[in-house]
Amino acid sequence: MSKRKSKESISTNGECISQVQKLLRERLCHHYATGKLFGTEHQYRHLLELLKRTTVHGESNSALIIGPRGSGKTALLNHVLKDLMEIKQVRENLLEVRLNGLLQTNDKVALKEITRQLRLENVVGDKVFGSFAENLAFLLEALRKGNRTSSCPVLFILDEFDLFVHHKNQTLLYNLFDISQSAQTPVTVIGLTCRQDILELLEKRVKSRFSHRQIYVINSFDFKQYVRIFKEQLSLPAEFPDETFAQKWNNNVQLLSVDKTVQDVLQNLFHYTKDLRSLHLLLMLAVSNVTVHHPLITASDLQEASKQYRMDSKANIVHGLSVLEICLIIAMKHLNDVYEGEPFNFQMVYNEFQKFIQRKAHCMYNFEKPVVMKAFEHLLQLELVKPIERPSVRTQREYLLMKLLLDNNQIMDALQVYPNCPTDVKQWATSSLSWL
Amino acid sequence: MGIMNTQQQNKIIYSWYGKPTNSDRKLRTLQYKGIIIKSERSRTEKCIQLGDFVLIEGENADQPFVAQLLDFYEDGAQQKHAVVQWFSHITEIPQNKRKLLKREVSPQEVFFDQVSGYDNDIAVETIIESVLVIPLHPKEELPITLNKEKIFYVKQSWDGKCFKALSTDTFSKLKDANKKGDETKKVARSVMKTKNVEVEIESKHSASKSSLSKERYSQRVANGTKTPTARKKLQLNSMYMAIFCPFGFECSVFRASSFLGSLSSGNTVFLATLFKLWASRSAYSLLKTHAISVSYSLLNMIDSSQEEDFLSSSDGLYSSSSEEEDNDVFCTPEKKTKAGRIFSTPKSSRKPSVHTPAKTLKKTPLPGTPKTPRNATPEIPRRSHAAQKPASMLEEARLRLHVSAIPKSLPCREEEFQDIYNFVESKLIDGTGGCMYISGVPGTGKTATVHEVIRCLQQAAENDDVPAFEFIEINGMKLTDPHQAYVQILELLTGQKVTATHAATLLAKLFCTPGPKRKTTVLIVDELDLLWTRKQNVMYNLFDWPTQKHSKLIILAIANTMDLPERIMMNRVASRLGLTRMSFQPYTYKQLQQIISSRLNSVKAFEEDAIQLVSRKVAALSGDARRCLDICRRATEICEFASQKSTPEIVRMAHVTEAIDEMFSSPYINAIRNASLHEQIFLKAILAEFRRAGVEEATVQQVYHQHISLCRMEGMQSPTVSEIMAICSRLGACRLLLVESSNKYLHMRVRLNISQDDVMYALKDE
Repeated sequence: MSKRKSKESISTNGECISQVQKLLRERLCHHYATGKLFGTEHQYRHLLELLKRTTVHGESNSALIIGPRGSGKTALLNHVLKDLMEIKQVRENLLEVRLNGLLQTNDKVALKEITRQLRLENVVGDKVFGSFAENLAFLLEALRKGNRTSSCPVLFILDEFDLFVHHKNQTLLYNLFDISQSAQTPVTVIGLTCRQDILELLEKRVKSRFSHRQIYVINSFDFKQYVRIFKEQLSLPAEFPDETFAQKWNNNVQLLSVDKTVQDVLQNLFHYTKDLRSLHLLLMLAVSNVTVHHPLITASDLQEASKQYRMDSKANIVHGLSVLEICLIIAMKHLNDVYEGEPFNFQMVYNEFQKFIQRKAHCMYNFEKPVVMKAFEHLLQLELVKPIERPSVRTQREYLLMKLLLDNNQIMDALQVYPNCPTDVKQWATSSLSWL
Repeated sequence: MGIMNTQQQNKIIYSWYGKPTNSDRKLRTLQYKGIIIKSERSRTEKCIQLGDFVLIEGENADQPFVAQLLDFYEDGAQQKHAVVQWFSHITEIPQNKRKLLKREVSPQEVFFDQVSGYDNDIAVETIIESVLVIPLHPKEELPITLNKEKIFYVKQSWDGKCFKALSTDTFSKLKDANKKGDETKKVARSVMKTKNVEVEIESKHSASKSSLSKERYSQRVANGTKTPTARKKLQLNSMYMAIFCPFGFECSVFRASSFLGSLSSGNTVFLATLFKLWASRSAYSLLKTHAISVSYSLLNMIDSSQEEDFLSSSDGLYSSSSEEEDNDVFCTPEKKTKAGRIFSTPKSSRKPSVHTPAKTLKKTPLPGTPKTPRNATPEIPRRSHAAQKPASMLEEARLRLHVSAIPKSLPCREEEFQDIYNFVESKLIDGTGGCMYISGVPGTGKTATVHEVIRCLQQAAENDDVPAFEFIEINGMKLTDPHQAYVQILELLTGQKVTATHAATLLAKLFCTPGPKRKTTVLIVDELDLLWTRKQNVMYNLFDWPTQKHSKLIILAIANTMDLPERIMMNRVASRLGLTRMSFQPYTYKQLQQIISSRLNSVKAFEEDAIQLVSRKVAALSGDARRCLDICRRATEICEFASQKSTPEIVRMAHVTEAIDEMFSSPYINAIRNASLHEQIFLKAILAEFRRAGVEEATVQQVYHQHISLCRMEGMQSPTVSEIMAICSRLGACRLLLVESSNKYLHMRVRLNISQDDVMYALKDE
C-alpha cells in the first residue's frame, strides 16, 4: 500500500517536475518574451508614450535605446510592443520593420528586407528590383507619397544600430531620419545599441536629423533587488496545476534566498556582472539538476552551477595536458620571468627543459627533440602559445618567436589540481631558477 | 521618335535646299527656304520648306513639339538654324490652366502658341519630320481620322494666360500653309478636302492658263516618260502613307500640279471630278460656297495673263500675308521650275514612303524595351483608424514644433531668402543659366529656404510675374552612387528611365544644343559633397551645363561646408561653380527664440523664459534649429508626463532643463556608476596600471595583476582570467574602453575611451 502510494507520488511528482522544467526553462531561455521588467519603469513609460503617439497621432519620431549587453533593451521594446498591441487602434495601425545590423550588412540588403517586410514587392511584381538605385528610389517614393493623417505609421526597429553606422554614406540612416523629420509617411525609428558613443558615430547631417531621444537602459538595481529577481525567476506561478508542489517549491526558493551559501554565490555573480542573462544561465544550470529523485533545488546545486559557470577556460585546458607539455609550459613561465615577458622560441624552451632534465634526470624520461617539438606544436594548436608573427617559409620552426597565453597564476592554479603531477615538476614550477 | 533620332543621329545629314535667298552681312547670316534631310540608313531624303509644319524633338521623346517653320538661316559659325512658330500640346499647358478650356481635349489638338519667352530659334537638327496642322473653327468637331499620329488640329491659341479663338488672320495663314498638301493624300483621306482642293485648282488653273505655267507644263509633259512612273510611285506612296504616314508633306505644289497636268489635258473634267468628290464629302455648306466662290474667282483671274495680278488678288482673297514660298512658287516660275523639278522627281517623292516604314518598323519594338513599368508606384497602406486630432494645448504645440510641420513663413532667413529669390528670378527673366552655392551647418534652414523660394517663384509663375519654369531636386544622400544623379535628373525632366551613362549623354545633348521651346529648369542639388567622384565628372557636368548658351539651367547647390569648392573640387569644377555663394550662419539664440515663438504662434504652451533657455543652450552648442525644436517637443512630453493628474500646465524651466539634460548629458558617468563591482575595479586597475607605467595603454595581463591586488586589498574573491576577459569585452562593447581584437588574449591592449578624470570622478562619488 505504502509502496503503491510512493509510486503514485513519484509519478505525479514526475509530471510536476517535467512541468517545472518546461516552465522554468522557457522562462530562462526566452527571458525577454515573458520576463518582467526590472527597474526600467521610467524608460517603459517613455517608450510606450512615444510609440503610442506614433500610432495614434501619426507623429514621426526617432529614438535610440542604449544600454550595455544584457541590460534588457530588446526586452523593454518587446514588452512595450506587446502592451501596445493590446490596444485595438494600435494593432491595426502599425507596420513593423525589424532589421538587424548583423543580418543586413549593407544598405542594399537592408532595403530589400524593408521592401519585403512592408509587403511592397508584390505590388510591383518581380521585375522591379534590378538595381540598388532603383530600389532606393522606389522605397523613398513609396514613403514620400504618404502623409501624416492618412498613411499607416511604420515602425523601424534597428537592432545592433551601431553596425548600420558603417554602411556607405549612412544612406539608410539619413533617409530614415529624414523621413521622420519631414511631412511624409509617419515613421518611428528605434535603434538598439550597446555603444555609449553612438552619437559620435553619426555623420553630422544624420545626427542633425536624429531627434536625440536617448533612452538609457541600465541595470540600476542593488543586491537586495537582485535577490528578489532571483526569487521571482525561480518561483512557480499561482496557476501551476499541482498546488501543493508549487507551494513546496516556492517555500524552498524562499529558503534558498536567505541561505548564506546561496547569498554568497549570488553576491559573487552580482559583483561580477549585473547582467540578468548570467543569472539566468546560472539558474538554468541549477534547474537542469532537478529530477524526480532530487525534486528541489539545493544550495549545493547552485554552488556547483556557479563553479561550473566561473570555470577558467584556459586553465581547464591545462588540466588535460601531458607531463611533458606541462614541463614545457613551466619552462616558458620561467623564460617569461627571466626576460620579463619578451617573446621566446622553441629552442629557448627546449634548452630550459634540458637544464631541468639534466638536474632531475631520474624522474623524467629524456625525450628526444622531435618529440618535444611535437608536444610544443600541440600547445600551439591549443592556442596556449601563440606566434607573434605569421610563420613564413624562411624562418625555421624552432626559431619562430612565441608568446605564452597563460598567466603565472593560471599555471600555478592548474598545477594545484593536476592529477599525479611529479613533485619535482611542481617544485620546479614554484621555485624560480635560482637553484640552477 | 526622339530616341530613334538620337540613335541615328550620325546618319542623318541636313543640307540646305537651294541657294541662299537672302543674306545679312551684318549678322553674317544666310537665309534659305528649305532643308533636305537625308537619312543614310534608309537612303532617303526629304525636303522641308518654309511654312511646313514639323515635329521637333523635345526633351521628352514621347512627345515631340509641333511647330511651323518661319525661317531658315545659317549663322556665321555655319550652324543651321530655323525660326519657328510653336504649337502647344495640351500636356504642355500648366495643369491649373487646363480648366479654362472647360472641355476634353483630344491628343490630336494643339494650340497656337503665343506665349512669349519661348525661344523660337532652334537648331535644324532637332527637326524630325513634317506633319499636318489643320485649323478648325471653334465649333467644329475634330474629324475622325484614319491615322492619328501625323495630323493635328488647331482651334484656339494659347498665350500663357488664356485661350482665344484663332484670329481670322492666323486662321487663313494656317490654311494657306496646308495648301501644299498633295492631291493623292487628299484622295486617301477625307479631312483636308476643302483647302487643298482649292490649292490644286488654283495651281492647275494657273498652270493651264498662264503662259509661263504653260511653258513649265509642257516641259513636264515632254518629260512625260518620267511622270507615269512618278505617278505610280505616288500611288504607291499614298498606299504606304495610308498605312504609316498618310500626311507626309514632302510632295510639293509643283509635283501636284505637274501630276494634275499630266493626268489629263482636259482640265475641266478633272476639276469637275475633284469638285464632286469634295462636295460629296464636305459637310459644311459654308465652306463649300466659300471654296466655290474662290475657285470661280480664280478662274476669272487666271484669264488675265498677268501673274502679278493673280498674286495680288489671291493675296487679297486670302487676307494677305500668305507665305513667301507660295509667292516664290507663283511669281518666279522660271527660276523655280528647276527646283520644282527636283522636287517632283520620283526619287524625292519616294523617300517618304521608304523612310516612313523604316521609321515605324524601328519604332514599334522600341516602346516596350527600355521602359520599366511606370505603374510601379507603390504605397504604404492606409491607416484603418483616423489619426487623432491634437486634444490638448500641449499636443497642439507638439504638432507645431515637429520639424516636419511646414511653417507659413521662415523667420530669420529673410535676407538669404531675398538673395536667392533675386538670383533665381533674374536668371529666369533673362532666360539664362547659372549656379549658386549655398553652405551652412546642418539645421540652419538651407533646404527649407530654397524650397520656400521655389514655392514663391512657382506662385509668381502662376501669376505670370516670372516665366514658367521647371523645378527638380536631387539629393546626394538619396543616391546610391554619384552617377545616379544623371538618371534621376533625366527621369524627373522627361520620365525616361535609362542607364547612367546614357542619361549623361542625353542630358548633355539636352542642355548643350539650342533647345526648342524649353522652359528654364531650376535644379536643386542637395548634399552636393556626396556627388564627389575621383574624376569629379558629375560635378563638372552639373556646373558646366548652366554655362552653356542654351541650357537655361539654374543650379542651386547645397552643402555643409563653406570651403567645399576649395577643398575638394578641382580647379576647373570650382571655376565653373562660379562665385555666387551664400553661407547660412548658425542661428543665434534670438533667432531660435523667434523661430519657436512663430511656430507656436498663438498657442501659449511655453513660458517665455523656457524658450529662451532652450534657444541659448542650442545656440551655444550648434545653432541647429532641429535640435531646438526637438528639445521643445521633448519638454512638452515631460510636462505632460509630470502633470498628468493635476490641471494642464504649460512648459516651465524645469521641464526644459530636464529635456536638455536628457539629450546632452554624457552617458559615460552614469554607465560607470551602474556597472558591476568588478567592472568598476577593473577600471580602477586600469587607472592604477596607467599610473604605474606612465603610459595610457596597458595589456590585459598587466591590468589583471592590478585587479588581483586591488581585490586582495578589499578582501574579495579575485576573478579568473576568463572573467576578466569577459569584463574587458563588456566594457569594450560599451566603448568605455577601447580594446584590440580579442585573439591576443592576455596580450590584448586596452585604452580608456574617456578621460581618466571622468573615470575617477564617477568612481569616487560612491
